[in-house]
Amino acid sequence: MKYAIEKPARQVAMVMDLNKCLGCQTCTVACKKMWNTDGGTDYSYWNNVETLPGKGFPKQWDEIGGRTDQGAVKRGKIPNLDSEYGRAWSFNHKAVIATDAASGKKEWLKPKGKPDWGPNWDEDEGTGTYPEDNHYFYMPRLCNHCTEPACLDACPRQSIYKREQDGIVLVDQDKCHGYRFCVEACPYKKVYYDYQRQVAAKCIFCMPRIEEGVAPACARQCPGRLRFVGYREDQEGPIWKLVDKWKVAIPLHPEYGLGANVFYVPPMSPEKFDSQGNGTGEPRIPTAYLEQLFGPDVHKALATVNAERDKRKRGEPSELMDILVAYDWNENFKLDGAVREVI
Amino acid sequence: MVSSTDSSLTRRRFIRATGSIGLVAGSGLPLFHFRQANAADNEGQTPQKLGSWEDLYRQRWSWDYIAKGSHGWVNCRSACEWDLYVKDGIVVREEQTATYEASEPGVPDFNPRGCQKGACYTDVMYGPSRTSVPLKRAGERGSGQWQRISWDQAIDEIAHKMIDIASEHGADTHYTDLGPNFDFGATTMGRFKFLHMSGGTFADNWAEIGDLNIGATMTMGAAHVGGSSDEWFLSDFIVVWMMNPSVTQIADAHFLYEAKYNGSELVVVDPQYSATATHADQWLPLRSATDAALAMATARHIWDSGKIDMPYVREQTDLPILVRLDDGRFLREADLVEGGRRKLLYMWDSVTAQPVEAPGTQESESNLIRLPDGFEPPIEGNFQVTLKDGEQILVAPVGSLLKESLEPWTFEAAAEVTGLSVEQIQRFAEGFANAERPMVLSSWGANRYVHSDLMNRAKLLCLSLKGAIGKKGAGYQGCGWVDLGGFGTEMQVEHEGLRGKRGMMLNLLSPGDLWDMTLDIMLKRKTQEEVTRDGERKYEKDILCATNVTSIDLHSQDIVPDMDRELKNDYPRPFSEYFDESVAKGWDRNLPRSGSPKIFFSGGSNLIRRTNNTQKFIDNIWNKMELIVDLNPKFSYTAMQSDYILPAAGYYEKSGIKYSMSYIPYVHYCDAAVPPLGESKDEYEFYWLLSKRIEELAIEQDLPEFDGCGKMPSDWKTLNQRYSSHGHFGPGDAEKVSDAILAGSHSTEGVTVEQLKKTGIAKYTSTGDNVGPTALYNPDWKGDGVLTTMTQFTEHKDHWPTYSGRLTTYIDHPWFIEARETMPTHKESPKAGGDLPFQLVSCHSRWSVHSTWRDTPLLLRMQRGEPVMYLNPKEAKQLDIADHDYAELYNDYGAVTMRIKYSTMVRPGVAYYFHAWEPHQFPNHESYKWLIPGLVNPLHLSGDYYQLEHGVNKYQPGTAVQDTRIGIRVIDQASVDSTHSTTPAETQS
Repeated sequence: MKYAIEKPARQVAMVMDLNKCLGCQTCTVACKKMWNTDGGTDYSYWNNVETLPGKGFPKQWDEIGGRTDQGAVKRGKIPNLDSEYGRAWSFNHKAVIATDAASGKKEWLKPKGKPDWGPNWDEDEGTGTYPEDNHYFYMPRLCNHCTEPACLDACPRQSIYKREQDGIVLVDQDKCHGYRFCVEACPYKKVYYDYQRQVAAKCIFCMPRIEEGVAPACARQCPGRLRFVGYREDQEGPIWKLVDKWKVAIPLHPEYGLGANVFYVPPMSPEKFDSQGNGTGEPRIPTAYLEQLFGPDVHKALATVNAERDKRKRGEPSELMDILVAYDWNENFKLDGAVREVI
Repeated sequence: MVSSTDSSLTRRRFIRATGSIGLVAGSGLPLFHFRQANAADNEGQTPQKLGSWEDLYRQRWSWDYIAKGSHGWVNCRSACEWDLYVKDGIVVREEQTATYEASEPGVPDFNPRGCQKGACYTDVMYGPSRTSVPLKRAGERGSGQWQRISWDQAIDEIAHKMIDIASEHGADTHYTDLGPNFDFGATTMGRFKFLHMSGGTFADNWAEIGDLNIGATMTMGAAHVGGSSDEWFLSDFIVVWMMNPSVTQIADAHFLYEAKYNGSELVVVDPQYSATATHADQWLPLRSATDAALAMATARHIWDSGKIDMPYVREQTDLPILVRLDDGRFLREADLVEGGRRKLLYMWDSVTAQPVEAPGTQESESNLIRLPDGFEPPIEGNFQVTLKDGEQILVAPVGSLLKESLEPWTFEAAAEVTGLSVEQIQRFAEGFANAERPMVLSSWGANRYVHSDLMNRAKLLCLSLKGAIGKKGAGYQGCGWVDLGGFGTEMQVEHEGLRGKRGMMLNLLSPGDLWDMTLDIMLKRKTQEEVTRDGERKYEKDILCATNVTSIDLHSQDIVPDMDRELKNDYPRPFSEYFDESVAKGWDRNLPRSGSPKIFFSGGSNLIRRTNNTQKFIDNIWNKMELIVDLNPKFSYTAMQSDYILPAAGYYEKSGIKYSMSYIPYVHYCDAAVPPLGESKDEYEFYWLLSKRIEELAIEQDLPEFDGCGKMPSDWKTLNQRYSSHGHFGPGDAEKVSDAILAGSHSTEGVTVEQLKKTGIAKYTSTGDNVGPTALYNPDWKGDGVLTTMTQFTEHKDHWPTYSGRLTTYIDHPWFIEARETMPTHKESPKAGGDLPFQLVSCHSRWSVHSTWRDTPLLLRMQRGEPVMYLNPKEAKQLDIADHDYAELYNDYGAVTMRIKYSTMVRPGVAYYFHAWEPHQFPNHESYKWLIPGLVNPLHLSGDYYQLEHGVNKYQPGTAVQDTRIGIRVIDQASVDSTHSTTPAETQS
């Protein structure tokens, strides 16, 4: 790293259980409504959900990212607003609702221009052959608030910092000059550029909410209840239990070597069929593909989830299953302060 | 409105403390979550000044006050409570309140609920298609030419026209459909009360939109069956069978995936690899519309493997009921004894070798179905009985006939029909048979084929054999309703102070009827529920001017010839014969009496958008109407074809009560967070003002009394008196109406608006009056524990509301005998629209609740901005259609243009879409609806058979969209733009 990053006193972190994700994008909308409705960032999604296998948002982000190997600096590419992010399309409601009768033409409601990409363009597309092995799953993504952030490292003005009290990675909006080295550098492509204010802008892990003990909007508004938020070091909290104790929650692309602080419980899937329609015993999502995403730890993580589930099938207790069920939803979030929703 | 407890003082102190971790941890944080506790303390959370760039963000998470709200009358089959954050008079965002408690220990709680639509209703509210001022058509209908007018002018003109039209054609030519957008508060109450008090025709659209589970009505006597969604968690074998909760039940779907972690097996039966199927243990990718074949093979396996719950089956089902083998009718007392009762049925007593009365049938001595101790009637065998004329015939229990009809359904036979492998079917059937608590989720989408009734009857058969229906953690989940009796009372009764359904009937039935009812109860001839149920049926038949939308369409849309043609190979007689017989016998309600409707009030829903064979509807019904008023917060396609568009207040701008499925057994309140936008008004007020103006004019003109639909007189000289409950409610009293509804409902004992403004939600205190279509039949549930349904029959042993008083396998109605549908079976889906390669299959949308949110830019950007038809990529490539190309969809009914989207989830041979796109989102403003004939199952025109009697929300003809076949062909992409459109102008959003 170019800069020495002081280890924060604590690191706030998130776990997402992909076996509960609905692909409903309530997280995306919650985040967007809160932070990114202005003109300069209306194209950006600090939180998005992509269908995998797929090209994602921005398009093929995993191919155009910055550093790819531990410590090895490689400049990435700034995604194109139209072809890789997808502009926030405007529509022609007025012309459709109140038509010009004289023109004799009926306009229909559609986006301006001819968009061919957007934040969810390949929703539900998936891959494989029906019905043998067609498959897809939903992958929510946000800034990983890395322990060694590539964006921070790339900034010549030292405008990016990791907060001492919780490890949230922030772009100082006063200091940033909008060079966009950070946009290039982030291999997850989770730093955006505000075209109006001409500064970099990224997920702030709902810092104002965290300060008051409230989980980020994407997590607290998730109806699938798949997100857990807390501090990495807190052994009473869900993050440590899922990441360190049970080792079922693992980071995306650990080979990037940045120390992501967002973790995933990898997805199970129904079994594949052979050409006769008989089950093969293999999951539809190839484990080799999951290994590309989550690294070799994915095998152990899946095996643990399955083994604990088998315990419950036999009527035996399982702490892991109890955590993932989330009987008491409030316990998905362990931050500071009294966090109990009441009528 | 409730203010936040977050004090700006606390906030400022906190900002100063951000440098210190110790302070962060111990600063006694400002209790966002406890904000209601001392709500009156302050005025919200607004940083006073910007100390650093971080404060820019902190300021975005600030507000002046918070109100509790929900999406009152959107037709979403669930309910979620939201905090509405208001800043500078604008609702800036919404976030779930998430204050639900777990129903009982060992079951996950309901939090936080919500979905992405609810999280951005503000984008609809302030969006580009929001209405804000009254408009009058200035050109031809649909010309897009509008003139701004005042409310006074609109109301005066509409009042005059209504009087003129009703005088010429009859008051019953005023037609209002159920919705399907509606709430349980003042909005819908006002709309329907105006209709009832003015003698107009109410048309149910449950079956027309394909949401009515007729198979459930046939089997259980109730279409809306199902408990709270946390009950899903308790099953050990969950079959999602014609439902896609990840997409259509977003707030509740988590219980399925959590049940897996609790050790349950999750099976998804779906031709598509749906978002729900991705999480399944077993996915059964069967051919479209072959579900009954899978169920028949499963039922056969349950029987053959000895997994039938025999005590349950003997008591709760009709399997022991005797059927005459000479004519296929039940054996009745009238067959055996001169003057015997028609509705008294029999079982076989093996000890005496005689038929014995089945308890709990309609004319039995006993209302209960409990069998005498030690009596175990056989469900198989052939027995000889002597009829009253001395003739000897053979009879057999229903079980025998059923076993025979199951016989052909081997795994191999089912594999042949479904396209599944024997192994897939076997694994499923064995799992089902061995499960302790099998559960089937079949939602509103489970009713979209002409033979959906058979499919659902077959699924219910599997559950019946397993003794699963009415058992905690098992059974059939098809969307139950918690009854808010006060809503019906307020809507239908012109006097205050009557409570619940019985109160409503006390006001409406004649003294003679009431005397009969009293005797029935005193002499214990009927249970209270039964008396109420019968009273309600009588009320609906003899007093209420009610029909259904499909009936109106059959009478006026000119679609009967289409049905004759489409169904000619599927039923023994032409469709028109069934229709004529139904009309002649009075089974069909046949309203309005004078022909097609003349006045239409659209209540924020979207009739043209959803009507099949749309062009015929526009030509034959719509254009023959003389007054069309759309009271709507949004420019819908229907609004755009209306005479008046009146701006209705949005969900956050008026008092409302969300209708409530039993999924989430809480009442959900919608507070008025901000005043109505622009000139918009809430519906209750509009109808108050309109009824007042009509009343004034009627008095001026000394208008003669109308006869309604011939059942009850309607005097418009007292219209507002009756609408306002004799002055009890003023035009601005929507909130008072909400309170009256809550006070009048047994399911909301002690709940008030004042309380709900603070909490947003309150747990129901019971399931209500337990009669009619909203009955959940659990008299013991008082708000505690998971809500299980149907225990009134399985535990209390009341007879089921069916002809035989039991879970019904066998229907001996002559039409059903003739059509060979006495019992569940598989029948092929007819190829409606032509023998073409693609079956047009739909799902409710992830991205909209019907057409609300369908044109919202924020959400369109997260799709593709235009309607898309999902095709399997291999098939699309064979047709030379690239992803996102426009293509032509065609069949016997026409051709429309639409974009294609590749998806590997789609079964080859299926064209799959998520519904409710507006016609004006398609080139030439014609959607796939133009290609859908909407098959009407002629058997659903039947009547005079207890549960098979036309009624609101229960049994009626409907339209099936998914039997439709289409062809798809490539078209020149450039031609789409040049022929259909000018360059789109930019819209601010």
